[in-house]
Amino acid sequence: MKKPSLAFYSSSIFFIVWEVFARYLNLKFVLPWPTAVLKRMWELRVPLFKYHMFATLKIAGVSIVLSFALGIFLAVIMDRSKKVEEAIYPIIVTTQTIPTPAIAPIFILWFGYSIWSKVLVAVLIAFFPVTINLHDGLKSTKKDYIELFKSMHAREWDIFWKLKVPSTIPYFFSSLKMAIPLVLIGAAIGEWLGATAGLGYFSKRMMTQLDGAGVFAPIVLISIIAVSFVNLISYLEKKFLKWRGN
Amino acid sequence: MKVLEIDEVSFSYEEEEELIKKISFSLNKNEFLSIIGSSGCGKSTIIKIIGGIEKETSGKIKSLKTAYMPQKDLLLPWRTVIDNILLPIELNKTSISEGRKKGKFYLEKLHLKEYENKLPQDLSGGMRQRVSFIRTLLTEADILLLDEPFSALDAITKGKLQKWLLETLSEFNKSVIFITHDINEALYLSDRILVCQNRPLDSFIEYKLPKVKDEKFIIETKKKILLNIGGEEE
Repeated sequence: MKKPSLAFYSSSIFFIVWEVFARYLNLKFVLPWPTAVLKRMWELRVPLFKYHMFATLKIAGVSIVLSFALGIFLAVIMDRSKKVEEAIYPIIVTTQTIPTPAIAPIFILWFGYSIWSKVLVAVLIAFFPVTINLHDGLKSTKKDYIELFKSMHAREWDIFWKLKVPSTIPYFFSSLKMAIPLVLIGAAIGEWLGATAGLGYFSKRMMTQLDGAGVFAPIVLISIIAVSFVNLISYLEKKFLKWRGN
Repeated sequence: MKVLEIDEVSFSYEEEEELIKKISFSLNKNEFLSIIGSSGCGKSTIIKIIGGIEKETSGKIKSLKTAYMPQKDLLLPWRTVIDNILLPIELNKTSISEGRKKGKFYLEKLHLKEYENKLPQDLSGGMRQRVSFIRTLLTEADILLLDEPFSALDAITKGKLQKWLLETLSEFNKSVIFITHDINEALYLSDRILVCQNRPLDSFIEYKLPKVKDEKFIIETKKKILLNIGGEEE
């Protein structure tokens, strides 16, 4: 049988300490203990899983597609032209200095309570690591390989499609693993600030009722969703990138 | 018959001092020509210019079709052996099915048939160089430009591949320019050797070698070449 990983032991210790400490404090509405959160999750399973989880997943799904569309577009145009890179790279970095929770209310003013205000928050957070990673990936193609392609009279398009794109696939998987938790966080922040459904919205509603375990329940669910997707991507990465052992 | 003529070719990287200054030489059909010289003398740059990777700043080059084989095997790690070999065919948009047939023929001929669908990471260093060589052959070029192809290999593998290269070339009717800094390798493989002179590189000292080389001849020539390069006798 496979031995449990060190992460299993460390997280078990973390949860046990949390459980003992929170029970000792006995302030459930401020710091609920893990088993109380799980119990609350079970009690709230119908609204959480049937309604709010799908609202958040919808925003996260649209956001990940848009983050990658934007990230790929920016990475490619920066790779094609040094001047474009010099012109837009600083702007891309600057976007990350914007405190998202502060700017999110403006998006709500623009787009109201539709999904787009939340999508914009999530994309603003997630497109950055996607762009930078893919840009690094395209740049990582070794000069020797490009020279070899040129010696075979390859066109620019062939160098891009047959050399740069496959070299960037590992970076694509890394971006995906980074962006998935970020779009979920972005969606939750957006929902927290203005929404009628979603795990962020649900958490805020529980807050107004001073239901500590109810606040934690959707947060725990977001973590579980993020970890599951990241593990799925890691599995696919191992399956499809066997050549990375090289 | 001459397959390549280089006439007063000069080269410099952007805003840098000249690396090559007005060099001229030629290559005959089916000839094995080695160019040797110390590191940084510009010998690799010469074949990069001939192969179209770098552009000469002045001078003329008249040549039949060339194929460049780099120092490292540079196999694409995500492609299988056969797909790596077919790369030049894909890039030149020639018939893939015909290329595949040829690729399989070469693999069989060079004892790599069973590795056809393996990834490069499953091959030894020597095998990878052989696959890289087949890829170069599949460009259907008349002139092979080999840039220190065996320098990263251990002595035993290197010796085996040198023998293998001579046997293979005798079958495929190719002319070769071989870049090396290993005098023994050049003496063993070549019909003619050009030794790089001066910086910037502006001339060569030429050695014509007989097909059959006795030990005395090799020792004498090696001594002379070492003196030309300005190195010590090994």
